[in-house]
Amino acid sequence: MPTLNDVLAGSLQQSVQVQQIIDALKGTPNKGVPVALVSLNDQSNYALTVQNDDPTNSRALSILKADGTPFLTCDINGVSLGSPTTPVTLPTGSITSGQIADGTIATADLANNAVTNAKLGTDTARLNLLTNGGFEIWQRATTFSAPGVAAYVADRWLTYPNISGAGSTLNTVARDTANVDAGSLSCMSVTHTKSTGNSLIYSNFNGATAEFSVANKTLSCSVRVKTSTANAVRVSMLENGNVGETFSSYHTGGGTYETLSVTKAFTGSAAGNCQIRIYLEASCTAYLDNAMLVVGSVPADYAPLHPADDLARCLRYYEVIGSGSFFPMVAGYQAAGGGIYVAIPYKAHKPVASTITKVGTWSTVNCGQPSTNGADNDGFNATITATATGYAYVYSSAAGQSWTVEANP
Amino acid sequence: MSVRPVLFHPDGSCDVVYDELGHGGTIPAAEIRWTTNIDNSENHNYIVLNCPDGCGASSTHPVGGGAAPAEVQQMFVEKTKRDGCACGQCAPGDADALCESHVRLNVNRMDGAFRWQLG
Repeated sequence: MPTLNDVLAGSLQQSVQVQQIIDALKGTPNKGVPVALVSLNDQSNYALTVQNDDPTNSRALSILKADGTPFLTCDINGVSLGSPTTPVTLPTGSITSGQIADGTIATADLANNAVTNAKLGTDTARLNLLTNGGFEIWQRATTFSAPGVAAYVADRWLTYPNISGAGSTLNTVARDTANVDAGSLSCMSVTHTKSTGNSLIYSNFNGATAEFSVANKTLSCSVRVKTSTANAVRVSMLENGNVGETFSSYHTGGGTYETLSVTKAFTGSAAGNCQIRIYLEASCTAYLDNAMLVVGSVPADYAPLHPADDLARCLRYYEVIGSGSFFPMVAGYQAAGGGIYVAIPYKAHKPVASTITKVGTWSTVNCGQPSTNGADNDGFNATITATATGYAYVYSSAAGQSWTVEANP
Repeated sequence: MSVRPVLFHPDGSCDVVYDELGHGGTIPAAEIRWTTNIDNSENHNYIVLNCPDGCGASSTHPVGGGAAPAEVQQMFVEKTKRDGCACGQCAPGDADALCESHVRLNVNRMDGAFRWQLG
Protein backbone atom coordinates (compact mmCIF):
# COMPACT_ATOMS: atom_id res chain seq x y z
CA MET A 1 0.00 0.00 0.00
CA PRO A 2 1.37 3.43 -0.83
CA THR A 3 2.45 5.57 2.07
CA LEU A 4 2.80 9.26 2.53
CA ASN A 5 6.36 10.40 2.95
CA ASP A 6 8.05 13.69 3.65
CA VAL A 7 8.99 15.60 0.55
CA LEU A 8 12.44 16.92 0.20
CA ALA A 9 12.41 20.51 -0.89
CA GLY A 10 13.06 20.77 -4.59
CA SER A 11 12.75 17.05 -5.22
CA LEU A 12 10.74 16.55 -8.35
CA GLN A 13 10.85 12.76 -7.89
CA GLN A 14 8.95 13.00 -4.66
CA SER A 15 6.32 15.35 -6.06
CA VAL A 16 4.34 12.19 -6.81
CA GLN A 17 3.67 11.93 -3.12
CA VAL A 18 2.15 15.37 -3.07
CA GLN A 19 0.04 14.25 -5.99
CA GLN A 20 -1.30 11.42 -3.81
CA ILE A 21 -2.91 13.93 -1.51
CA ILE A 22 -4.20 15.98 -4.36
CA ASP A 23 -5.72 12.87 -5.91
CA ALA A 24 -7.33 11.97 -2.63
CA LEU A 25 -8.88 15.35 -2.21
CA LYS A 26 -10.01 15.49 -5.78
CA GLY A 27 -11.54 12.09 -5.70
CA THR A 28 -9.41 10.76 -8.54
CA PRO A 29 -10.62 7.22 -9.32
CA ASN A 30 -8.79 4.58 -7.31
CA LYS A 31 -6.93 7.26 -5.48
CA GLY A 32 -9.31 8.08 -2.64
CA VAL A 33 -12.81 9.24 -1.68
CA PRO A 34 -13.93 12.85 -1.94
CA VAL A 35 -14.61 14.31 1.48
CA ALA A 36 -15.17 17.81 2.70
CA LEU A 37 -12.33 17.91 5.15
CA VAL A 38 -12.73 20.04 8.22
CA SER A 39 -10.40 18.30 10.57
CA LEU A 40 -8.01 15.44 9.99
CA ASN A 41 -5.74 13.97 12.59
CA ASP A 42 -7.24 16.10 15.34
CA GLN A 43 -4.73 15.23 18.05
CA SER A 44 -6.72 16.77 20.87
CA ASN A 45 -9.70 14.55 20.23
CA TYR A 46 -9.35 11.53 17.95
CA ALA A 47 -6.79 10.20 15.59
CA LEU A 48 -9.24 10.78 12.78
CA THR A 49 -12.10 13.21 12.82
CA VAL A 50 -14.21 13.87 9.80
CA GLN A 51 -16.83 16.54 10.11
CA ASN A 52 -19.32 17.51 7.49
CA ASP A 53 -20.67 20.97 8.09
CA ASP A 54 -23.63 20.51 5.78
CA PRO A 55 -26.54 20.91 8.23
CA THR A 56 -29.00 19.33 5.83
CA ASN A 57 -27.42 15.99 5.14
CA SER A 58 -24.28 15.80 7.25
CA ARG A 59 -22.72 13.41 4.79
CA ALA A 60 -19.60 12.74 6.77
CA LEU A 61 -18.32 9.37 5.65
CA SER A 62 -18.92 6.92 2.87
CA ILE A 63 -16.84 3.79 2.40
CA LEU A 64 -17.45 1.84 -0.74
CA LYS A 65 -16.86 -1.74 -1.68
CA ALA A 66 -14.72 -2.70 -4.61
CA ASP A 67 -17.79 -2.69 -6.81
CA GLY A 68 -18.63 0.85 -5.80
CA THR A 69 -21.64 0.00 -3.67
CA PRO A 70 -21.90 1.34 -0.11
CA PHE A 71 -20.02 -0.54 2.55
CA LEU A 72 -20.43 1.98 5.37
CA THR A 73 -22.21 5.29 5.30
CA CYS A 74 -22.46 7.92 8.02
CA ASP A 75 -24.87 10.72 7.37
CA ILE A 76 -27.90 12.41 8.83
CA ASN A 77 -29.77 9.09 8.76
CA GLY A 78 -27.25 7.41 11.01
CA VAL A 79 -24.72 4.72 10.40
CA SER A 80 -25.71 2.35 7.60
CA LEU A 81 -24.14 -0.79 6.34
CA GLY A 82 -24.21 -1.75 2.70
CA SER A 83 -26.44 -4.45 1.34
CA PRO A 84 -26.20 -7.33 1.64
CA THR A 85 -25.34 -6.53 5.22
CA THR A 86 -21.90 -7.39 6.31
CA PRO A 87 -21.86 -8.85 9.82
CA VAL A 88 -20.73 -6.47 12.51
CA THR A 89 -18.31 -8.07 14.89
CA LEU A 90 -18.62 -6.58 18.36
CA PRO A 91 -16.66 -7.47 21.47
CA THR A 92 -18.49 -9.91 23.71
CA GLY A 93 -20.58 -8.09 26.27
CA SER A 94 -20.32 -4.74 24.52
CA ILE A 95 -24.10 -4.55 23.99
CA THR A 96 -26.03 -4.30 27.26
CA SER A 97 -29.66 -3.61 28.02
CA GLY A 98 -28.87 0.11 28.13
CA GLN A 99 -28.22 0.06 24.39
CA ILE A 100 -31.49 -1.78 23.65
CA ALA A 101 -34.65 0.27 23.65
CA ASP A 102 -37.26 -1.11 26.05
CA GLY A 103 -40.07 -2.96 24.41
CA THR A 104 -38.24 -3.63 21.18
CA ILE A 105 -37.26 -7.27 21.69
CA ALA A 106 -40.00 -9.39 20.16
CA THR A 107 -40.54 -13.11 20.55
CA ALA A 108 -39.16 -13.62 17.07
CA ASP A 109 -35.84 -12.23 18.26
CA LEU A 110 -35.42 -15.14 20.66
CA ALA A 111 -34.17 -18.53 19.65
CA ASN A 112 -36.65 -21.36 19.98
CA ASN A 113 -36.31 -23.48 23.11
CA ALA A 114 -33.96 -20.97 24.66
CA VAL A 115 -35.81 -19.26 27.54
CA THR A 116 -34.80 -21.07 30.71
CA ASN A 117 -36.81 -21.31 33.89
CA ALA A 118 -34.29 -19.10 35.65
CA LYS A 119 -35.19 -16.26 33.31
CA LEU A 120 -38.87 -16.32 34.23
CA GLY A 121 -40.40 -13.73 36.49
CA THR A 122 -42.37 -14.74 39.55
CA ASP A 123 -45.47 -13.42 37.82
CA THR A 124 -45.16 -15.99 35.05
CA ALA A 125 -48.04 -18.32 35.88
CA ARG A 126 -46.94 -21.92 36.31
CA LEU A 127 -48.43 -25.20 37.39
CA ASN A 128 -48.83 -25.48 41.15
CA LEU A 129 -47.81 -28.92 42.39
CA LEU A 130 -49.49 -28.37 45.73
CA THR A 131 -53.03 -29.42 46.49
CA ASN A 132 -55.07 -26.68 48.12
CA GLY A 133 -52.20 -24.22 48.02
CA GLY A 134 -54.68 -21.40 48.42
CA PHE A 135 -56.04 -22.77 51.71
CA GLU A 136 -59.51 -22.50 50.21
CA ILE A 137 -60.82 -25.99 50.93
CA TRP A 138 -61.53 -27.23 54.45
CA GLN A 139 -63.56 -30.41 54.11
CA ARG A 140 -62.89 -31.79 57.60
CA ALA A 141 -63.78 -28.70 59.62
CA THR A 142 -63.00 -24.99 59.62
CA THR A 143 -61.71 -24.60 63.17
CA PHE A 144 -59.34 -26.87 65.06
CA SER A 145 -58.49 -26.38 68.69
CA ALA A 146 -54.99 -27.53 69.66
CA PRO A 147 -54.59 -30.04 66.84
CA GLY A 148 -52.01 -32.72 67.52
CA VAL A 149 -49.20 -34.33 65.59
CA ALA A 150 -49.97 -35.17 61.97
CA ALA A 151 -53.53 -33.85 62.18
CA TYR A 152 -55.02 -32.67 58.92
CA VAL A 153 -56.67 -29.26 59.12
CA ALA A 154 -57.21 -27.60 55.73
CA ASP A 155 -57.15 -30.21 52.99
CA ARG A 156 -53.62 -31.57 52.54
CA TRP A 157 -52.18 -29.38 55.29
CA LEU A 158 -51.12 -30.91 58.59
CA THR A 159 -50.03 -29.69 61.99
CA TYR A 160 -47.07 -30.66 64.11
CA PRO A 161 -46.83 -28.91 67.47
CA ASN A 162 -43.41 -29.21 69.08
CA ILE A 163 -41.36 -30.54 66.22
CA SER A 164 -38.50 -29.64 68.53
CA GLY A 165 -38.52 -28.96 72.26
CA ALA A 166 -41.73 -29.16 74.22
CA GLY A 167 -44.63 -27.24 75.65
CA SER A 168 -45.58 -25.25 72.59
CA THR A 169 -49.15 -25.27 71.38
CA LEU A 170 -50.93 -24.57 68.16
CA ASN A 171 -53.86 -23.07 70.00
CA THR A 172 -56.16 -22.63 67.07
CA VAL A 173 -55.91 -23.38 63.39
CA ALA A 174 -58.85 -22.06 61.43
CA ARG A 175 -60.16 -20.94 58.10
CA ASP A 176 -60.08 -17.14 58.00
CA THR A 177 -61.78 -14.84 55.51
CA ALA A 178 -60.97 -11.52 57.19
CA ASN A 179 -57.20 -11.54 56.84
CA VAL A 180 -56.72 -12.94 53.37
CA ASP A 181 -54.04 -12.02 50.88
CA ALA A 182 -55.10 -9.86 47.94
CA GLY A 183 -57.47 -11.74 45.69
CA SER A 184 -57.89 -14.67 48.02
CA LEU A 185 -61.13 -15.98 49.47
CA SER A 186 -59.74 -17.63 52.57
CA CYS A 187 -56.48 -18.19 54.36
CA MET A 188 -55.28 -20.22 57.34
CA SER A 189 -54.99 -18.43 60.65
CA VAL A 190 -52.70 -19.96 63.24
CA THR A 191 -52.16 -18.93 66.81
CA HIS A 192 -49.03 -20.37 68.34
CA THR A 193 -47.80 -20.26 71.90
CA LYS A 194 -44.11 -20.99 72.12
CA SER A 195 -42.51 -22.72 75.07
CA THR A 196 -39.32 -24.44 73.99
CA GLY A 197 -40.51 -26.13 70.86
CA ASN A 198 -41.11 -24.92 67.35
CA SER A 199 -44.29 -25.98 65.61
CA LEU A 200 -45.20 -26.65 62.03
CA ILE A 201 -47.86 -26.38 59.44
CA TYR A 202 -46.77 -28.65 56.62
CA SER A 203 -47.80 -30.40 53.43
CA ASN A 204 -46.43 -33.59 51.96
CA PHE A 205 -45.70 -33.97 48.31
CA ASN A 206 -44.46 -37.24 47.11
CA GLY A 207 -41.31 -38.40 45.53
CA ALA A 208 -40.24 -40.93 42.96
CA THR A 209 -42.28 -43.94 43.97
CA ALA A 210 -45.60 -42.48 44.92
CA GLU A 211 -47.53 -39.57 43.49
CA PHE A 212 -45.01 -37.93 41.24
CA SER A 213 -41.26 -37.81 41.04
CA VAL A 214 -39.24 -34.85 42.23
CA ALA A 215 -35.96 -36.72 41.97
CA ASN A 216 -33.23 -34.65 40.33
CA LYS A 217 -35.55 -31.68 40.04
CA THR A 218 -35.13 -28.20 41.42
CA LEU A 219 -38.31 -26.97 43.05
CA SER A 220 -39.27 -23.58 44.38
CA CYS A 221 -42.01 -22.91 46.85
CA SER A 222 -43.48 -19.68 48.08
CA VAL A 223 -46.02 -18.91 50.77
CA ARG A 224 -47.69 -15.64 51.53
CA VAL A 225 -47.47 -14.94 55.26
CA LYS A 226 -48.73 -12.15 57.48
CA THR A 227 -47.69 -11.69 61.08
CA SER A 228 -46.71 -8.89 63.39
CA THR A 229 -44.01 -10.88 65.14
CA ALA A 230 -40.51 -10.65 63.70
CA ASN A 231 -38.50 -13.81 63.11
CA ALA A 232 -41.45 -16.02 64.00
CA VAL A 233 -42.32 -17.58 60.66
CA ARG A 234 -40.23 -19.07 57.88
CA VAL A 235 -40.61 -21.74 55.26
CA SER A 236 -38.52 -24.76 54.38
CA MET A 237 -38.43 -27.70 52.00
CA LEU A 238 -36.88 -31.07 52.67
CA GLU A 239 -36.67 -34.61 51.42
CA ASN A 240 -38.09 -37.65 53.10
CA GLY A 241 -36.26 -38.45 56.33
CA ASN A 242 -35.42 -34.82 57.10
CA VAL A 243 -32.78 -34.75 54.39
CA GLY A 244 -31.41 -31.48 53.08
CA GLU A 245 -33.79 -29.03 54.72
CA THR A 246 -33.48 -25.61 53.08
CA PHE A 247 -34.98 -22.48 54.63
CA SER A 248 -36.39 -19.19 53.48
CA SER A 249 -35.75 -15.96 55.30
CA TYR A 250 -37.98 -15.02 58.22
CA HIS A 251 -41.03 -12.83 57.98
CA THR A 252 -40.04 -9.37 59.15
CA GLY A 253 -43.02 -9.04 61.45
CA GLY A 254 -44.20 -5.98 59.59
CA GLY A 255 -47.84 -6.92 59.90
CA THR A 256 -48.43 -7.21 56.16
CA TYR A 257 -48.29 -10.09 53.75
CA GLU A 258 -44.79 -11.02 52.66
CA THR A 259 -43.70 -13.76 50.29
CA LEU A 260 -41.44 -16.33 51.91
CA SER A 261 -39.77 -18.49 49.29
CA VAL A 262 -37.19 -21.21 49.12
CA THR A 263 -35.59 -23.16 46.28
CA LYS A 264 -34.15 -26.63 46.68
CA ALA A 265 -32.44 -29.08 44.34
CA PHE A 266 -33.81 -32.52 45.16
CA THR A 267 -31.49 -35.47 44.91
CA GLY A 268 -31.86 -38.48 42.67
CA SER A 269 -32.98 -40.50 45.64
CA ALA A 270 -35.71 -38.07 46.71
CA ALA A 271 -38.76 -40.23 47.35
CA GLY A 272 -41.55 -40.61 49.83
CA ASN A 273 -42.91 -37.68 51.69
CA CYS A 274 -40.99 -34.60 50.70
CA GLN A 275 -42.40 -31.65 52.57
CA ILE A 276 -43.06 -27.94 52.60
CA ARG A 277 -42.87 -26.75 56.17
CA ILE A 278 -44.08 -23.47 57.61
CA TYR A 279 -42.22 -23.04 60.88
CA LEU A 280 -43.69 -21.15 63.82
CA GLU A 281 -40.70 -20.29 65.98
CA ALA A 282 -42.18 -17.75 68.37
CA SER A 283 -45.50 -17.03 70.00
CA CYS A 284 -47.52 -15.33 67.32
CA THR A 285 -50.63 -15.15 65.25
CA ALA A 286 -49.86 -15.84 61.62
CA TYR A 287 -51.95 -15.90 58.49
CA LEU A 288 -50.91 -18.24 55.71
CA ASP A 289 -52.17 -17.95 52.16
CA ASN A 290 -51.46 -18.68 48.52
CA ALA A 291 -48.72 -21.29 48.63
CA MET A 292 -47.08 -22.35 45.39
CA LEU A 293 -44.73 -25.21 44.54
CA VAL A 294 -43.26 -25.13 41.06
CA VAL A 295 -40.51 -26.84 39.13
CA GLY A 296 -37.57 -24.54 38.60
CA SER A 297 -35.35 -22.15 40.45
CA VAL A 298 -37.72 -19.19 40.36
CA PRO A 299 -40.69 -19.13 42.74
CA ALA A 300 -44.03 -18.29 41.21
CA ASP A 301 -46.74 -15.95 42.35
CA TYR A 302 -49.90 -17.77 43.32
CA ALA A 303 -52.08 -18.77 40.39
CA PRO A 304 -55.50 -19.94 41.52
CA LEU A 305 -57.08 -23.02 40.04
CA HIS A 306 -60.63 -23.12 38.83
CA PRO A 307 -62.67 -24.11 41.90
CA ALA A 308 -63.68 -27.37 40.25
CA ASP A 309 -60.06 -28.32 39.73
CA ASP A 310 -59.10 -27.17 43.21
CA LEU A 311 -61.78 -29.39 44.75
CA ALA A 312 -61.02 -32.30 42.43
CA ARG A 313 -57.44 -32.37 43.67
CA CYS A 314 -58.62 -32.45 47.26
CA LEU A 315 -61.17 -35.19 46.58
CA ARG A 316 -58.34 -37.43 45.48
CA TYR A 317 -57.34 -37.65 49.15
CA TYR A 318 -60.46 -36.95 51.16
CA GLU A 319 -64.17 -36.79 50.55
CA VAL A 320 -67.41 -36.70 52.46
CA ILE A 321 -70.29 -38.87 51.33
CA GLY A 322 -73.71 -37.74 52.40
CA SER A 323 -74.53 -35.69 55.43
CA GLY A 324 -78.07 -35.01 54.32
CA SER A 325 -81.48 -36.31 55.17
CA PHE A 326 -81.75 -39.95 53.97
CA PHE A 327 -78.40 -39.79 52.26
CA PRO A 328 -76.48 -41.97 52.69
CA MET A 329 -78.83 -44.91 53.16
CA VAL A 330 -78.36 -48.67 53.19
CA ALA A 331 -81.60 -50.58 52.81
CA GLY A 332 -82.97 -53.94 51.81
CA TYR A 333 -85.17 -56.91 52.68
CA GLN A 334 -83.52 -59.77 54.45
CA ALA A 335 -84.13 -62.69 56.75
CA ALA A 336 -83.22 -62.29 60.39
CA GLY A 337 -79.46 -62.24 60.77
CA GLY A 338 -78.93 -61.79 57.07
CA GLY A 339 -76.63 -59.17 55.68
CA ILE A 340 -77.50 -56.39 53.27
CA TYR A 341 -74.59 -55.04 51.26
CA VAL A 342 -74.23 -51.87 49.23
CA ALA A 343 -71.22 -50.88 47.15
CA ILE A 344 -70.46 -47.18 47.53
CA PRO A 345 -68.31 -45.59 44.82
CA TYR A 346 -66.07 -42.65 45.60
CA LYS A 347 -66.35 -39.30 43.87
CA ALA A 348 -62.67 -39.48 42.96
CA HIS A 349 -60.12 -42.27 42.54
CA LYS A 350 -57.82 -42.47 45.54
CA PRO A 351 -54.05 -42.93 45.43
CA VAL A 352 -54.16 -45.80 47.94
CA ALA A 353 -56.77 -47.92 49.71
CA SER A 354 -58.84 -45.69 51.95
CA THR A 355 -59.87 -45.41 55.55
CA ILE A 356 -63.66 -45.22 55.80
CA THR A 357 -65.17 -43.43 58.77
CA LYS A 358 -68.83 -43.48 59.63
CA VAL A 359 -69.51 -40.16 61.29
CA GLY A 360 -72.17 -39.97 63.97
CA THR A 361 -74.89 -42.38 65.00
CA TRP A 362 -77.32 -42.97 62.16
CA SER A 363 -81.00 -43.76 62.35
CA THR A 364 -81.79 -47.44 62.01
CA VAL A 365 -84.80 -49.60 61.38
CA ASN A 366 -84.51 -53.34 62.03
CA CYS A 367 -80.71 -53.28 62.01
CA GLY A 368 -77.67 -51.87 63.75
CA GLN A 369 -75.19 -49.27 62.59
CA PRO A 370 -73.59 -49.86 59.18
CA SER A 371 -70.16 -51.36 58.98
CA THR A 372 -67.54 -51.53 56.28
CA ASN A 373 -65.94 -54.75 55.23
CA GLY A 374 -63.89 -53.78 52.28
CA ALA A 375 -62.44 -50.66 50.70
CA ASP A 376 -60.02 -49.94 47.94
CA ASN A 377 -59.03 -46.97 45.80
CA ASP A 378 -62.43 -46.60 44.15
CA GLY A 379 -65.12 -47.49 46.66
CA PHE A 380 -66.15 -49.52 49.65
CA ASN A 381 -68.73 -52.00 50.77
CA ALA A 382 -71.26 -50.96 53.43
CA THR A 383 -73.13 -53.60 55.38
CA ILE A 384 -76.06 -53.88 57.73
CA THR A 385 -77.53 -56.98 59.31
CA ALA A 386 -81.30 -57.39 59.58
CA THR A 387 -82.41 -57.98 63.15
CA ALA A 388 -85.65 -59.66 62.11
CA THR A 389 -86.97 -60.81 58.77
CA GLY A 390 -88.22 -57.83 56.82
CA TYR A 391 -87.07 -54.51 55.57
CA ALA A 392 -84.01 -53.12 57.28
CA TYR A 393 -82.41 -49.80 56.66
CA VAL A 394 -80.02 -47.31 58.12
CA TYR A 395 -79.76 -43.72 57.05
CA SER A 396 -78.37 -40.32 57.79
CA SER A 397 -81.00 -38.27 59.54
CA ALA A 398 -79.09 -35.18 60.56
CA ALA A 399 -76.32 -32.95 59.36
CA GLY A 400 -72.91 -34.42 59.99
CA GLN A 401 -74.01 -38.05 59.67
CA SER A 402 -71.93 -39.20 56.76
CA TRP A 403 -69.06 -41.33 55.60
CA THR A 404 -65.68 -39.82 55.13
CA VAL A 405 -63.10 -41.39 52.87
CA GLU A 406 -59.44 -40.66 53.43
CA ALA A 407 -56.35 -41.84 51.63
CA ASN A 408 -53.04 -40.20 52.43
CA PRO A 409 -50.14 -41.46 50.36
CA MET B 1 -59.04 -37.52 59.51
CA SER B 2 -60.40 -40.61 61.14
CA VAL B 3 -60.40 -42.39 64.44
CA ARG B 4 -56.69 -43.03 64.16
CA PRO B 5 -54.15 -44.68 66.44
CA VAL B 6 -51.41 -42.49 67.84
CA LEU B 7 -49.83 -44.48 70.68
CA PHE B 8 -49.55 -48.19 71.44
CA HIS B 9 -49.39 -49.64 74.94
CA PRO B 10 -47.78 -52.88 76.11
CA ASP B 11 -51.17 -54.36 77.02
CA GLY B 12 -52.29 -54.12 73.40
CA SER B 13 -54.50 -51.09 73.84
CA CYS B 14 -53.90 -47.98 71.85
CA ASP B 15 -54.61 -44.30 72.18
CA VAL B 16 -56.62 -42.80 69.37
CA VAL B 17 -57.64 -39.33 68.31
CA TYR B 18 -60.47 -38.15 66.13
CA ASP B 19 -59.21 -34.80 64.98
CA GLU B 20 -62.34 -33.37 63.40
CA LEU B 21 -64.25 -33.47 66.66
CA GLY B 22 -61.31 -33.27 69.03
CA HIS B 23 -62.18 -36.65 70.51
CA GLY B 24 -59.66 -39.10 71.89
CA GLY B 25 -59.09 -41.89 74.34
CA THR B 26 -57.80 -45.39 74.75
CA ILE B 27 -59.23 -48.41 72.96
CA PRO B 28 -58.67 -51.75 74.74
CA ALA B 29 -56.94 -54.49 72.79
CA ALA B 30 -60.13 -56.56 72.65
CA GLU B 31 -61.91 -53.75 70.80
CA ILE B 32 -59.33 -53.46 68.07
CA ARG B 33 -61.11 -55.82 65.70
CA TRP B 34 -60.71 -57.24 62.23
CA THR B 35 -63.64 -56.63 59.94
CA THR B 36 -65.72 -59.60 58.90
CA ASN B 37 -66.36 -60.91 55.42
CA ILE B 38 -69.75 -61.93 54.06
CA ASP B 39 -69.11 -65.47 55.26
CA ASN B 40 -68.40 -64.08 58.74
CA SER B 41 -64.71 -64.93 58.55
CA GLU B 42 -62.31 -62.25 59.73
CA ASN B 43 -60.46 -60.15 57.20
CA HIS B 44 -56.80 -59.44 57.89
CA ASN B 45 -56.87 -56.45 55.55
CA TYR B 46 -59.06 -54.20 57.70
CA ILE B 47 -59.35 -53.16 61.34
CA VAL B 48 -62.21 -51.20 62.85
CA LEU B 49 -61.74 -48.56 65.53
CA ASN B 50 -64.73 -47.01 67.26
CA CYS B 51 -64.34 -43.55 68.74
CA PRO B 52 -63.98 -44.01 72.50
CA ASP B 53 -65.86 -40.77 73.01
CA GLY B 54 -69.10 -42.55 72.13
CA CYS B 55 -69.97 -40.17 69.31
CA GLY B 56 -70.77 -43.05 67.01
CA ALA B 57 -67.82 -42.51 64.71
CA SER B 58 -66.22 -45.68 63.47
CA SER B 59 -63.19 -45.93 61.20
CA THR B 60 -62.30 -48.93 59.08
CA HIS B 61 -58.60 -48.84 58.33
CA PRO B 62 -56.97 -50.78 55.50
CA VAL B 63 -53.69 -52.56 56.16
CA GLY B 64 -52.01 -50.20 53.71
CA GLY B 65 -52.64 -47.41 56.15
CA GLY B 66 -55.37 -45.32 54.54
CA ALA B 67 -55.54 -42.06 56.43
CA ALA B 68 -52.48 -42.54 58.64
CA PRO B 69 -50.11 -45.03 57.03
CA ALA B 70 -47.36 -45.31 59.61
CA GLU B 71 -49.63 -45.54 62.64
CA VAL B 72 -52.16 -47.85 61.00
CA GLN B 73 -49.49 -50.22 59.75
CA GLN B 74 -48.05 -50.27 63.26
CA MET B 75 -51.51 -51.10 64.59
CA PHE B 76 -51.74 -54.11 62.26
CA VAL B 77 -48.30 -55.27 63.37
CA GLU B 78 -49.18 -54.89 67.05
CA LYS B 79 -52.48 -56.75 66.66
CA THR B 80 -50.88 -59.54 64.65
CA LYS B 81 -48.16 -59.96 67.26
CA ARG B 82 -50.72 -60.08 70.05
CA ASP B 83 -53.59 -62.02 68.49
CA GLY B 84 -52.06 -63.64 65.44
CA CYS B 85 -53.38 -62.89 61.98
CA ALA B 86 -56.99 -63.43 60.98
CA CYS B 87 -55.80 -65.61 58.12
CA GLY B 88 -53.91 -67.94 60.42
CA GLN B 89 -50.55 -67.26 58.85
CA CYS B 90 -49.25 -65.92 62.14
CA ALA B 91 -50.12 -67.22 65.58
CA PRO B 92 -50.16 -65.28 68.85
CA GLY B 93 -46.66 -65.00 70.17
CA ASP B 94 -44.94 -65.60 66.86
CA ALA B 95 -41.67 -63.79 66.35
CA ASP B 96 -42.07 -60.08 65.83
CA ALA B 97 -40.24 -60.25 62.53
CA LEU B 98 -42.61 -62.88 61.20
CA CYS B 99 -45.66 -60.83 62.11
CA GLU B 100 -44.17 -57.70 60.65
CA SER B 101 -43.24 -59.40 57.41
CA HIS B 102 -46.74 -60.79 57.06
CA VAL B 103 -48.28 -57.36 57.53
CA ARG B 104 -45.75 -55.90 55.14
CA LEU B 105 -46.72 -58.48 52.56
CA ASN B 106 -50.35 -57.48 52.93
CA VAL B 107 -49.43 -53.81 52.62
CA ASN B 108 -47.51 -54.52 49.44
CA ARG B 109 -50.42 -56.48 48.02
CA MET B 110 -52.87 -53.70 48.75
CA ASP B 111 -50.99 -50.52 47.88
CA GLY B 112 -47.68 -51.53 46.39
CA ALA B 113 -44.16 -51.84 47.70
CA PHE B 114 -43.63 -48.11 48.17
CA ARG B 115 -46.33 -47.93 50.80
CA TRP B 116 -44.49 -49.55 53.72
CA GLN B 117 -43.69 -46.83 56.23
CA LEU B 118 -42.19 -48.72 59.14
CA GLY B 119 -38.43 -49.06 59.48
